[in-house]
Amino acid sequence: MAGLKKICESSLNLKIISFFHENPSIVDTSGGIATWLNHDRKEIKKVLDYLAAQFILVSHHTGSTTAYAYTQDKEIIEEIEKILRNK
Amino acid sequence: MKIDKKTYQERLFKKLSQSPDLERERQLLNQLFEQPVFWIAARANINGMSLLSANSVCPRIKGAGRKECLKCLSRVLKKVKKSRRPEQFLCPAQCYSLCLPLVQGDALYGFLIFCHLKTRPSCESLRLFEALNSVILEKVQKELELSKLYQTIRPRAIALSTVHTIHRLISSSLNPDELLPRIARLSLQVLRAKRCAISLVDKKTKHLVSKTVIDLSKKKARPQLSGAMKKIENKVMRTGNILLKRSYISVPLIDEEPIGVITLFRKINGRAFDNFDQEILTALSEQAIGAIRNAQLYKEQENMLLGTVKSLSTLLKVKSGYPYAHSKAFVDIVLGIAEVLGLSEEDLRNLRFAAMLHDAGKIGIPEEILKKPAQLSGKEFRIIKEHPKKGAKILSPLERLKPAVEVILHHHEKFDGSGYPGRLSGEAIPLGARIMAVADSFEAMISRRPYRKSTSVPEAIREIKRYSGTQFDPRVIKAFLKLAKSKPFKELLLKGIYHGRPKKDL
Repeated sequence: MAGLKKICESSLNLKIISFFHENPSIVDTSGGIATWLNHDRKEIKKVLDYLAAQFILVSHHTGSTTAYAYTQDKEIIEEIEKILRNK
Repeated sequence: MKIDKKTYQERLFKKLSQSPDLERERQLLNQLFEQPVFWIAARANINGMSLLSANSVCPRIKGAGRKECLKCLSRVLKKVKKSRRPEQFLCPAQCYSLCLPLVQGDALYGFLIFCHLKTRPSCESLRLFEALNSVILEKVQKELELSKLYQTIRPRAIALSTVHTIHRLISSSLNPDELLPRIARLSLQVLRAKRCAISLVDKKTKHLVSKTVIDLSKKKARPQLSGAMKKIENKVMRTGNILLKRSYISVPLIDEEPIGVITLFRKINGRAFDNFDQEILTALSEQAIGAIRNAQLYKEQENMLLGTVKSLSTLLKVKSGYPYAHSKAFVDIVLGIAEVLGLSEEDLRNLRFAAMLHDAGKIGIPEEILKKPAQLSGKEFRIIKEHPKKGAKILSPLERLKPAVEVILHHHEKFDGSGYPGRLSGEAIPLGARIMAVADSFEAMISRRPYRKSTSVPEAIREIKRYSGTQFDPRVIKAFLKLAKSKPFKELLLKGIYHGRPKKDL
């Protein structure tokens, strides 16, 4: 995926992507992810929305809740696996 | 995850040998004993011993003396292993040396050896070293325990958070058409599978009916359930047991009785479904059952409410004796405009009720006024103008219809404030009322009355446009004009209002 390497250049993007890659079954809100990564919630939410727009994550919306989960696209997952191995 | 004693000791030793506290101890002793040679050993033999200090090297470590040196160390290690007490000794080079066991309780984790000390350590310093090593060892143990706890608890905490989040996502939907695909997608997400099918029992036929099939590997908009998949579902339904195979897992949805089946097929990484997946899907299905039940009950309740409103509407029309009741298409036109404006499901529902009941207030108006074949007098018109308030009053005790009552009350307001009963203007008029005003006027124009001719649809539309900004909201007019160009609208008119009228009128 074009641009995936560039996306992973940001340390926060990489941190979040790694987290989902290591925990592929997780479905959680921005608050939950911020807790697991011990990071500011607003910044985490910005990145989560960005990564969802890039199809690296999937977002699930209801009226009051937005949850995020890892992509199930095999190609993207394999590409991320390569990038993480080289880091 | 439980680890055996041997593995634990190995891990502890490794962490200890890399511990910054041990390094600080080494540096301290460097100063006290002028660069002794440090060794750390996990076992009481010279294999696996590693030199901690790179800077100071005993002259006898290399060359011919090395073998003798290591033999001496091996002897000392075995002795200390037995005694578990510090041992002072002279190395083959006649240098003071010290071997300290790393002991915590009953467990022996390794040995620290200091060779080539310039002076003999005193008893007090021996006790000090023992105490210091004990503290370091205890600290390393705690770090290891904490790390183990973290590794055990964290994935479980993450899994629990996932279950909780899914519960929130599922519980917030009361629409069965929206809920089931959501449950399917979330199940696919958590179990990392490619395909999910949910079937529910039809209340009448008692057979399973496929409600949702989501297939991430296929581009088809509506994937179907194959014969083989149906067999799996029917088996699960019949037995009430979970079916767990390599390439699929199927779980019955059981409330007080079986209500359906959820089945997942093929993991995206090609692995087999396992017991852990079964646990997760079982937990998910239990949440799903509650949500599905709620959605079904809510739908039943909504249907009951709609039925009640329909009955009420018919009753009020009959009782009022108003001869010019709206056609069936009127409600559809109101909702059509509302959909173009993008109103929510909730607002559409309330608007439907308002459209069906908005003339309820005419029940209090004398029949001779309602049926008058000519223009109304001023007094008669004043009486007619009471009907929105009366309608609102009749319906206001019905809690569930409260959002519709506001629309009913103001459906005769005009955008420029010249309407009634409240002389509201602009956006102060509820949007539903502004929509109904357009639909009401349009339908009135194209309907026959004894005191005037009906207008053709194109002329009625032109008339409506003319009053944009005065009588009607321009935004609503725009939506109405968009609707009027659509095929469904023309079909609506044909079916609803214009039954039997020439097509040229359209």
